[in-house]
Amino acid sequence: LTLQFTLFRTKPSLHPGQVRGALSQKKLMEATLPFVATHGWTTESISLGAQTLGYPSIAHGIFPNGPADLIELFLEDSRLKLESEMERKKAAGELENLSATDIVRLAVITRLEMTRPYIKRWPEALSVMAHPTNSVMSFTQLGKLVDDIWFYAGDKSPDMNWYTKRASLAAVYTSTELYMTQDVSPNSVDTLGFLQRRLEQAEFVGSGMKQLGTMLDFGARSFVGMVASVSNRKRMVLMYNSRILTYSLATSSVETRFNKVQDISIRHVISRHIRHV
Amino acid sequence: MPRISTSSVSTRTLLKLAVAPTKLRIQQAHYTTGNKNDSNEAEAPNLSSRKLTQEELEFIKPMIRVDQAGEIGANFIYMGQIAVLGKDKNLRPILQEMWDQEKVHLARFDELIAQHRVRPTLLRPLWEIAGFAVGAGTALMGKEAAMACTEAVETVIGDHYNDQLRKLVQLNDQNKDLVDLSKTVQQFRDDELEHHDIAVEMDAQKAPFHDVLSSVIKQGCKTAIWVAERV
Repeated sequence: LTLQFTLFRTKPSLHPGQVRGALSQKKLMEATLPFVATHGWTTESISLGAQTLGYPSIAHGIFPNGPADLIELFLEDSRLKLESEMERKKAAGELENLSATDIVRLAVITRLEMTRPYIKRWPEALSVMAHPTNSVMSFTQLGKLVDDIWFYAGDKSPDMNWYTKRASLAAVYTSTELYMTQDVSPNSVDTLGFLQRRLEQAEFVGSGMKQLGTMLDFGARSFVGMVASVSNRKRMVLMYNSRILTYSLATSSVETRFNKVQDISIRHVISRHIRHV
Repeated sequence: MPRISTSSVSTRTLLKLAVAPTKLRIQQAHYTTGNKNDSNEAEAPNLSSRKLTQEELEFIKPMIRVDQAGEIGANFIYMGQIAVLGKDKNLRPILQEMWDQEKVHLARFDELIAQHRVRPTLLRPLWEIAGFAVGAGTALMGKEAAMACTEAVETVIGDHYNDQLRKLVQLNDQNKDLVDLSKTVQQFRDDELEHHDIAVEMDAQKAPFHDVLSSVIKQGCKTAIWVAERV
């Protein structure tokens, strides 16, 4: 029996092609973007955009959550444009001789170019995205973006590196975008330098995770050694307790147990479960 | 020593063969396993190479995730068992062979994860440590207990793969990727049931507290499967 969970969002989910009535959200977004530089990421811009298309200003209701929906659609649209651009490059063989980091740099630059026209007003958008009600949306969009970039960079990790790589790239991308908001150099060349320094510094295959692996390995070995060194009677008691420990590890609250394993050594955890016979 | 357990084992194995689609039964044209020299293209020329739809991907991604997590657990269980019982000259080659097969399984699922862009399980270190602890723990209780652990785990995995096969078969409009996945699951299911039979042959039923041990391990595995599908 597998239970399928569906998240029911209270607001309708957006897609660039979604049509509502006679005006599609994508069309309205495209009409709104030229006004963003002057009027910011606000309902006012959306109204002005609707008016250029010949609709009444109240048509901003097509975005039920106002600026948040506009930004979400903009992010989704940019991500799809990045995807088609990378596909085109891949098909043209431009990615052939590039290293993974080079492809990452190329993809990040391509994506940042899409934000650059609106970069002066981008901090407004960032504050909207940071709002608690929009945090899921912005986190999901960032997650999809870094996953796409790593896919084109040829990432095939099947283990914890999948997570460390995406987390590092998310940090690189967001910090570079933030730097770009206050970059006044012509054509944002300073941002390119900033990106280069971040990429050199970034540890995509985390040493943090390596340390965890080593600790688990050591812990597991010392557990076996410790158990093998006690008497038979103590061993039965220890087995009983360790079975409970293992069972509880697998069935109890996953998050707290995982944190526990990370934070304190395994020897310490096990020693707390040994009953002295 | 009278091997009373053997006949009950074969009955159980026969039951498993009866209820699950195996290589012994007549297959649909798509699912052919067994003889690897068969050219599958000749049997199913209409297999489309279309890309999977978003819905189908959302359907198979948790399957691949949980299968990879399961193989990680199995790998570490055998690692733990060999760490304790490795010195036994009769047992070592058998355990080593089963472990090597699990490594092959894990490599295949790693491939599938890369191919379909599946997010791997976040709790990988947990499955690693739990697997090693269960393997080493039962091995310390003795050889029979280790075999009982293997028997319990392989039973749960066999049922789990059968459930997945049933779900995959129900999908309409099979394409190459889905058929590949079904074949993989089918082949691995057969391997895991083989391990189960080996474990029973090696006196798994004679383990101390066999029923309790077995049910605790089975319940742990089922919970881990539920969690790994989601996290």
